[in-house]
Amino acid sequence: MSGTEQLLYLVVVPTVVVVVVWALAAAGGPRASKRYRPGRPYDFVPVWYVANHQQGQGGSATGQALEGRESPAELTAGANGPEAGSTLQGTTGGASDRW
Amino acid sequence: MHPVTEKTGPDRQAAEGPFTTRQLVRLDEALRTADNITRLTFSVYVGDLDEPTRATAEKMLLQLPRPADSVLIAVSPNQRVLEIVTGSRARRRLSDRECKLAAMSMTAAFSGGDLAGGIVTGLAQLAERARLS
Repeated sequence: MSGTEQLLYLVVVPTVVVVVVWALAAAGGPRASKRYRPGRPYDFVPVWYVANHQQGQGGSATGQALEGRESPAELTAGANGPEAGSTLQGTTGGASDRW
Repeated sequence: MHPVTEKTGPDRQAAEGPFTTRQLVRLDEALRTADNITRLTFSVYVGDLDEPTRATAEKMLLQLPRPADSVLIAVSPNQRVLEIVTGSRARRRLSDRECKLAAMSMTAAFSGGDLAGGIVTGLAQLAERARLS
């Protein structure tokens, strides 16, 4: 094995492998994984969903069909509807929990 | 499944939303199933909640089209808080104890980092309890 071949096998090939692995790791960072990890900052856009019954029986949602919002205060959908106010007067139920 | 409000574009949601497409499909299916078998309106919010979180979640419930017949699941990963709010009529079919049991299942999944799985599990559990017989 010549000196050039030794250099190729012992230096260049390992270097290329390291660079490729590093590039793949950098491309698939924490935001790309979209995984929530308790204790880590959660900085995704707030989202609020209800079922879409117009979508049909066989339909299913896709990522493109969904959108988010900035804060609860921006929601106005039924705030002034006929039932508004009736649920806050001690009649709501449910539960709270923490993890 | 569709958002309660429309503020940001689809591209932004796809880039910054907390769920993958597969998780969104599961969530969509769980929401529609829950609505269909209970005739209640289930809604899921994931994001920060202003303090006090309970009051904020109750106000959010009022912003749904039929608040009395609605169930809101509000999850705040940063605050590690889960609020389940039932409207006045929904409460008759879904007791606070049943909500607490669902909340415990959900927070167990959240502690393991599974946001979507916890929400889907909670939706299924709540829907089964409130199911029309």
